[in-house]
Amino acid sequence: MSGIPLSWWLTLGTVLFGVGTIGVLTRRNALVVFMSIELMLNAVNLILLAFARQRGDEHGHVLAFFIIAVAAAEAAVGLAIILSVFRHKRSVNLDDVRALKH
Amino acid sequence: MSLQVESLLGIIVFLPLLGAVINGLAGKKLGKGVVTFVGCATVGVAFVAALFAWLHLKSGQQPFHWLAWNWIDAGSLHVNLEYYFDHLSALMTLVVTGVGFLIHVFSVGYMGEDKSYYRYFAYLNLFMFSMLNLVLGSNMVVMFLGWEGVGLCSYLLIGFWFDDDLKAQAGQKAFIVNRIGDFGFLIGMFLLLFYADGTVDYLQLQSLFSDQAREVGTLPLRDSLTITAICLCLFVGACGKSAQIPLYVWLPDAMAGPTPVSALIHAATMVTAGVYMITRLNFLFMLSPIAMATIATVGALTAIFAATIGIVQRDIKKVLAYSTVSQLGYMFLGVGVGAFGASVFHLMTHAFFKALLFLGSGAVIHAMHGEQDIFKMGNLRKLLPITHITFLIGTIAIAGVPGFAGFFSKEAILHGSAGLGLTTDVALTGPWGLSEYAGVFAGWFQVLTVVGLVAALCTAFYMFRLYFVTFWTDYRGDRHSWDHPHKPGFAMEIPLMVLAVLSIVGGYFPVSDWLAPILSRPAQLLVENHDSALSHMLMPISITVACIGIVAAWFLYVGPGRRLPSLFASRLSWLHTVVFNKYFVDELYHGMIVRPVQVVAQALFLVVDRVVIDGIGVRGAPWVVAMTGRMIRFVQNGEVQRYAVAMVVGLAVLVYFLK
Repeated sequence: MSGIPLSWWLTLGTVLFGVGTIGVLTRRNALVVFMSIELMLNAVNLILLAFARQRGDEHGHVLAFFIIAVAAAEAAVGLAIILSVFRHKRSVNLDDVRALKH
Repeated sequence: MSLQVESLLGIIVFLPLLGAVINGLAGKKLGKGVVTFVGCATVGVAFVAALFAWLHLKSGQQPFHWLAWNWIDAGSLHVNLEYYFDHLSALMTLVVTGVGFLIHVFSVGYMGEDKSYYRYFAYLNLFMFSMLNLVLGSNMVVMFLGWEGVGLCSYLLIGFWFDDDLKAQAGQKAFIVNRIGDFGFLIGMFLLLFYADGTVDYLQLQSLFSDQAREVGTLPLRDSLTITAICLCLFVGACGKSAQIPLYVWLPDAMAGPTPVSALIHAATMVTAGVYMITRLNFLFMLSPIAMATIATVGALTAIFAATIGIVQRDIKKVLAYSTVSQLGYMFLGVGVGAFGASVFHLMTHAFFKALLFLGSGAVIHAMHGEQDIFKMGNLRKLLPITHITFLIGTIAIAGVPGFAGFFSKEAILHGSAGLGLTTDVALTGPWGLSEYAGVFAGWFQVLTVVGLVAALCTAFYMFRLYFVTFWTDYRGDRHSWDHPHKPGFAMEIPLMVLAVLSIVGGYFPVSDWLAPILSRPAQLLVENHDSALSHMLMPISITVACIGIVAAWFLYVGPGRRLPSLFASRLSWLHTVVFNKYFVDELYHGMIVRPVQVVAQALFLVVDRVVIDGIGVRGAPWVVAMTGRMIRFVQNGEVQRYAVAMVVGLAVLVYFLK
């Protein structure tokens, strides 16, 4: 692991983040959007850890753990919302969930 | 003992306020008996308290203060809500509470059938509170509080029957004309405050402007121009409140109110506020000969002007109203020539006999089912014997027949005007303080005395005309009123009798001596001028004048000359028209002031109100909001992913610029 240069990790993280972002913006299925958000969070985790390793600073690890914990909580809440939406609308398509417009 | 005496002032002032609050807030539910009791008893107790305080002062004690609380404390300005009982305010308080109490009692009979009985007494008590603030306040700010308060109550009571449009308008006229005067009063007060080291307390002002200060040269202001300006501004206030030319126009219209109100507010008490104020500040006014001469001139002109109008009026209350304006003119003539004691004397006797005359006219109007035209009355001495006798006493008193109150006080004023001449103050600088005017003033005051005598002739004539036409000759009204008159009850007759007695004995009260402690200064500034021929001849002349007026009235309205008045009116119809229409002053004011103000107001309404405020302001603001909303509403379309795109783009831009 130590043999792999930092720039590779960063590149991988950035690519993962970009994939996640595009997924969030383009996909219509709520579950897929949700998974894309997880992808973005984990891309950030990866970059945090890469820097932490490189700098020998354990604060990055701590922050990554926080993100994992918050992401777990967020996943629970998010899935509950999606489930609830599905029960109402019989659909998890985001285009069908637009009640909060003007 | 002294503590109790001081707290008497609190009782005198605040008891009527308590009555006003009780009657005003709960009077509708309390029932007539309780309202009557609260309304009359509060003023009655205040009168008794005033009597005790007066006895205390009379026994040789010092004048005393009562501090309610510290009112304004801002920087160097300290104003206390404080009351001061000295010889002048004692006299005023006795007149206000005494006459006020009698009129309250009279009102019980007069207003008995009115549906807003409780409201009437609430206003009347509030008026008593304001008037007592005016006369008892120990500084100019408390006086101003009362000054505005009586103006408000006057407005409320003139427009008491506000469902009659004309009466409501009369109330507004009184209020607005008074505002003009109050504006002058305010400016005068602020000027004084500015120059007199920020003090408004009478005693402090008095010591600031005292003889010693003048001799030592520590007067707070030495410029005669400024002093004259202050005095004239204050006099404008007095003109408004006390109905002097040019601001007298509201008083005749004020007769729209209930007659006891005319007696209390528009004859006996409120309208004398200006005389009281100038007497209270005599030390200041004495420093400005020009202001004094102006006051005397305006007073004399008002006296003769209003008296001539009074001669031809047909409405019983209008005659009395112009008579009041005329008598107030006398009082201002008195203060203007420096005869303050005589003026306050006349103020007191006038309060007695004019309240009597107004209440008498109220009894007549009440008996005649609201008829006010004296030419539709006549021979009423048969119907209303007690009203007749008391009215006769009041008429004799105002006409100046020796032995009755009005004779002494009117005589004192004319004597002062003929016998006094102002000197000017050498300590003052500036063009308006030069002493060579002194001789001119002495001569001018002689002229004013003659004017006063002519006005006295008119007074005797029109008052006896009123008396003869109302109580003698043949009845000319409708039969129903004659057959079923509203006879006055005891509540109305007893005040009449008390006031009739006061109209006789009031003249024997030595007011000038009583006021001597607070009027010690004028002696230094006045030259006695008793050598003038007029001064020696004054008493026989004025007695003759009164007799001529009375005999002429008898001759023209009861005696052999009964056809002459209508003959005069038709031959000199232009003169009669001009005088009957009050010299068209109301029309003149309407054309010169009211119309232009209305036109400007209409223009402002159309341009500023309709276009700027309504159009741009009120309708513009929601229009802007609506348009903005319409333009940016597509942003919120409910599609979460578009929001996310916006966030990402925003973030990218942010990152790009923060890089």
